[in-house]
Amino acid sequence: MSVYQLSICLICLVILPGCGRGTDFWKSRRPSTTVAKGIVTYRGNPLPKAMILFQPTDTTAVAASATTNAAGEFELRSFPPADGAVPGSYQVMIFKTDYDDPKYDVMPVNNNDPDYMKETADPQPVSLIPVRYNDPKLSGLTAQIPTDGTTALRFDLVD
Amino acid sequence: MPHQNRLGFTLIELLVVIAVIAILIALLLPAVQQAREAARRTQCRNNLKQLGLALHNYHDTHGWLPPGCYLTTLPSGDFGGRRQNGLPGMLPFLDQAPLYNEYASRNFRIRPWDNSLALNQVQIRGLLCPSDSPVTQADAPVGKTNYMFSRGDSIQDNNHWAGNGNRGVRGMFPGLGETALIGKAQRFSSITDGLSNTIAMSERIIAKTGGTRVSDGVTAANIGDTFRNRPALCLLQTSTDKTYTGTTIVYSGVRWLDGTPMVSGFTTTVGPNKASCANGNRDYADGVFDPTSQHTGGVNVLFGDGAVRFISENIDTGNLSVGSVTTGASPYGVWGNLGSVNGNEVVTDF
Repeated sequence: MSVYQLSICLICLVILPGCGRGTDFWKSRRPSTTVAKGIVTYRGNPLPKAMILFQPTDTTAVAASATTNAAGEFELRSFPPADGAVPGSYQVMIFKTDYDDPKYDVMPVNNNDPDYMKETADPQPVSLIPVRYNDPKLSGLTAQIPTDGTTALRFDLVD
Repeated sequence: MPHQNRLGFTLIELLVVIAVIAILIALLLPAVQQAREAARRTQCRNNLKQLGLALHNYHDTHGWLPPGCYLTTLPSGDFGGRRQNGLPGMLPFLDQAPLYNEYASRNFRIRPWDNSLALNQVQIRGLLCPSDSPVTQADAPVGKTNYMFSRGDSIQDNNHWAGNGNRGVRGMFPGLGETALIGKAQRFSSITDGLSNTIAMSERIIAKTGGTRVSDGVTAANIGDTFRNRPALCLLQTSTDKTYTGTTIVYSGVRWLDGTPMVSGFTTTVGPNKASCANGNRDYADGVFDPTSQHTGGVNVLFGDGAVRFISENIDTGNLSVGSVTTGASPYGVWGNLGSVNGNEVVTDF
């Protein structure tokens, strides 16, 4: 091996280790996650744009959440935007409101109005499913995410 | 082979040299950009450090910390000094004594949302983080701020309703309601978690008109009451590339002395550089307003002891499916623990 080749190798050895991003301290301490997919229906039809919230039975554990797509399907995330949920047992909440309605796009404009600070009723999105599904104690929905993952979570909501 | 006198480089040699120089420049350019951003980040940290020193000087002088939002209505029905954050009182300690005097000459009766007032239009350079892109807020020439006061891990009533049901007062700079006195602001002695373990100030991106991303500083509007008890729902308001899916409002940092949490406060709930959400569409709404920055990977945070640290956006945020608490340890992990002033949590490593 020539001196030239040797010096190239030495330079690479010195420089290249600095190129790695390294693992984030907090990411390395996170519990491992697994795939957790499923579907939500209401009155037998897929429920689009609903928010699913998995509250861990162990209150110090990590929650998982997702939004359903047009087909009512969802994929849970414990550390969004990273995919995957932490295995464990959960109580499940489901939210579906008329939040997309254009009436909520109206913004207050007059910042110099003397009455500006008067309390007004902020618009509250209206639930489009029974509100008991918003409460982990009343929803009656529970789920188990096994360590090897699941794609068969299913919640059939009724009135 | 006869010896040949060379008069110049061949075309190939020239091309090779040019290619090598091009590669070297290509390697160097990103490094130069990173060095420029590193310099801006350092200046950003220094600004935060200056605010930390001002806070300590303020405390030495007045015996308490400035309130996060000071809201009073005089008996006459006058607006009085309303809805201001801690910055006006800190001005003498930020080398802005003339501005403070002008402020005091008006008996502190300033409406922060009055865009025509010259006092509101002053831009203090030390309140701008150079890493944030230039302000594009079109509505008014009002002074802006990147630096925000901590509301801790309080979500519900972290605005001027602070204290309602003992909610909204977990941070170092709670808002003070209509009937509260300035003496009810925090003192160092009431921060029992320890000044080095409690977040005082941090940074948020100044909201850009028409923005749709977290990096535009905008906030999701009209989320409703339910999200306040489930901050994980706020995270669902952005797609995985941190673009908001619903209506957004443009208030973060747009008025330097406005004391509402959406304009000049922040929460320690869902984690740095994540979605923020307001319960309503007014600038005084309560909600989730965690720090955001243009730095890669996290935000600068000022702790109560004056230390400025860079906190990763991947910091532990605990269980985001439960509501904020009024006593005891924060449910929102290490990040929530660092925000609360008296949660009695064990915080060792962050």
